[in-house]
Amino acid sequence: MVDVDLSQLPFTLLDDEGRDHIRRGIDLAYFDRDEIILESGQAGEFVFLIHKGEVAEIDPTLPSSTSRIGHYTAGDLFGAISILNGKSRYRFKAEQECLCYLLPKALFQQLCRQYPDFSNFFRQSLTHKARLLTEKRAEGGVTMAGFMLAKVSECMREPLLMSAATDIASAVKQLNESHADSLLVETQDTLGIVTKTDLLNALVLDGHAITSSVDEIAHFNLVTAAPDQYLFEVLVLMTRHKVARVVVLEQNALKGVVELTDVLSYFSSRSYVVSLQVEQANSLEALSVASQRTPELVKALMAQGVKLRFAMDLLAALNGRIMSKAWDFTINERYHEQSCMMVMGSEGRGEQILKTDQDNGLILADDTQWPELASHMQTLTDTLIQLGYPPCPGNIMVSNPEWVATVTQWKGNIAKWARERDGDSLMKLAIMLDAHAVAGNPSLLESVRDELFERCSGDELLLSYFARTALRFSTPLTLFGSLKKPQHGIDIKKGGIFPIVHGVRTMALERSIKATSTFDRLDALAADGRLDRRFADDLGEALALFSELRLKQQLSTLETAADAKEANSQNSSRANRVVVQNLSSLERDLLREAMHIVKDFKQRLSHRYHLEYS
Amino acid sequence: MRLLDRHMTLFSGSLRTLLRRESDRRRCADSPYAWLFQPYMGEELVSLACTVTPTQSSPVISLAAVVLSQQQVHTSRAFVITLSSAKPPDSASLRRHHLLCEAGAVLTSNSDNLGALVEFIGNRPIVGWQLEQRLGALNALLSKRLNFALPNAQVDVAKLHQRQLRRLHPEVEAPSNFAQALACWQVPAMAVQSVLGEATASALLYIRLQRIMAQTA
Repeated sequence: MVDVDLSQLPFTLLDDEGRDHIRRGIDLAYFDRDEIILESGQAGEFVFLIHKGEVAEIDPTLPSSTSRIGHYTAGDLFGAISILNGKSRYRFKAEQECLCYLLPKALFQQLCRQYPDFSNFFRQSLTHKARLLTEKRAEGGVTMAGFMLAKVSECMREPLLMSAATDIASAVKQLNESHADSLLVETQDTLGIVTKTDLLNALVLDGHAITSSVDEIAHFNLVTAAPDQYLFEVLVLMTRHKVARVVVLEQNALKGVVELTDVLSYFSSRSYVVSLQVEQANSLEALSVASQRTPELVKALMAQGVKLRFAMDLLAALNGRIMSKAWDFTINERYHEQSCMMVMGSEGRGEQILKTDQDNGLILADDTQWPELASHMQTLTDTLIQLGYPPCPGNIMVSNPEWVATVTQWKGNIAKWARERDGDSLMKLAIMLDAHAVAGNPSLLESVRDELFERCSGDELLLSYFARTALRFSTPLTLFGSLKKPQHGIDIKKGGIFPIVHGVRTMALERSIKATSTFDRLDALAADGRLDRRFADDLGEALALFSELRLKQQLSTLETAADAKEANSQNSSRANRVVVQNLSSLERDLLREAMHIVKDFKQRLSHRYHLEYS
Repeated sequence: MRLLDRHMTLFSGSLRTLLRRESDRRRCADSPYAWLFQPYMGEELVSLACTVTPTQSSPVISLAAVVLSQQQVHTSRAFVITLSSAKPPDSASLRRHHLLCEAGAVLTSNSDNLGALVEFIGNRPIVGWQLEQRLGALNALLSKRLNFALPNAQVDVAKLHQRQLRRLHPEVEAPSNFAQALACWQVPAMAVQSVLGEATASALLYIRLQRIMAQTA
């Protein structure tokens, strides 16, 4: 019997007898470099299990730059699908000298008959692969399902434009005639919008006469979109600006109006209505119900294959609205102007997908009188816990007096942290850099952040200390540039996400870039010339891939741990671990490429910030 | 080049082995084994690995034979046996030997079992690491029971390895062991402690060396 490692999928689906069958029945074959192992169209005679070497899967019908569709290394299987299909669709070529085990067709088919699980494994991977390939071939490589590709132009209404002098009576008449819900007016080259609700309010509450002109009651702070934007982005805009209508402009020319009802009828699956529920919630209970549904929304979006960045945007907008509502419910309105609640960490960067710990703080205007501050903040934290945001283990929360301070105090803290440069101070600086205002008066945060940039962006020594953290965890690649494959998985947060996020954060600090999202920072850095566009895009793609893999892991642990809440703390560390062996070879390929990008980025960082000897 | 190599191996060996082979052939002309002395015209070879433990009466021999072609090693058609004399003299040493070699069924070294072995090998050339030393005991046994030693052409991968090393570095002197040779040509050592593993590994080493020679020729 041959000694072959059968401890991996799919062989674990067999029993000992089945594995013995394989050991008895396999042969070995040696292939030279560039030798074609299986030609497209050729009938599959063997299942190949690579013992050593690398094999490329090539679609000969594609141009050479894109023809390489798969990559297999030691431990991978190929050729099974060729047997199931009768012939091979693609060409398999040895990229290095290869030593493969050959499992003959007859034996493979016999095993498939005897072990349905084993057979299903290959049939599933066939459909999985087909799906991946169609997605990959979809235009522009964007992985979005059909409805997500809907553009604004497909869903917009004819605008009803009236002259500024039109009186309310004739406006109502025209609205009824054209079955419209809102009208646009133009005065002095600016567009304004009047909704039916505005007309009602004007007549009943504000006591306007029916002869008064519509431009008196029009709103001129319009939310606009371009016709070629995704409908999805419009939904994000509506959520963020709390409006139900978005005006479509193309190079300043009016094209149409998109209404919330139209968007919702497009996204009629109930999951997408979460944002509407959040808007309509007028009690904590209702808000909590809506808030609990966000994981469902995430799952639905992922199932539809929505690009992660859009999902992140929507979720960040939603979380922002939920927190801001919670703030409105708990904090008396007279304090709103003198204080600013900020979220930090991944929430601040808008890279949160599932709810994690609350990282938040409060900035007060210098002369605030707020006697019950502590108890109010405790209530706010408790409310957020009730809404499904677990408390922060590091106690970075508004209920902690350390994270509640006046503008001057904050500025003093920043100066102190920048001077001290120890681990704790650097961490706090990093946290502040990602801060994003969600409620209250955002200008308070802006002045604090201005101070932060002023103190830190020119300080080379501080930047160097700051950047060093990005190199703290090693990239999980082997000496030869392939992925490490430990049994317990590689930590994707430490190995991939953290170096990108922190490195980009450092560069943004150096250039005083105010954006807080890593993607936006990358865009800004590319526009600034600090990074070349291609590399910035690559980094963004790599980050998106890592986040996606992590999210998948999190969603799956969420499912398994739904009934056992105690297991949550253990799961949170496991959620970052990706077991390479469980990935498809395409995913593994992507992951390896992404890790190489991280490695490259780290090298650039250490060169720029002189970290070679640290 | 490959052809030349084959003829080199066919005519290698001492005059004594040539003469012995010829006399064996004549003696077996009428036996059922006569065909084994015919020259082999096919593409296949047989990789052989053999471990011998001497005991007081007769040695215990574990043996694996694997058919290979220029590209494939047919491990599924491997022939693995342990031969010992009719009454196992020392079951402890037999068991230890068996564990060590991970060989197949234990059979008595009678003419039937030996016949099956030579039938399997046929007249195909034999490939192996340091063949002459390893096959001594087997050949003795064969001569005793079947009246002839293995007549097949033999390719000693140890010699091929040394020759290839000398081609690359003329000064090379130290003879290397099997594991070093495998590492030298980056052939994965698959369970070399078992006879089948050794046979497979020497088959792979042979294929590998053939390719290298074809490239450098």
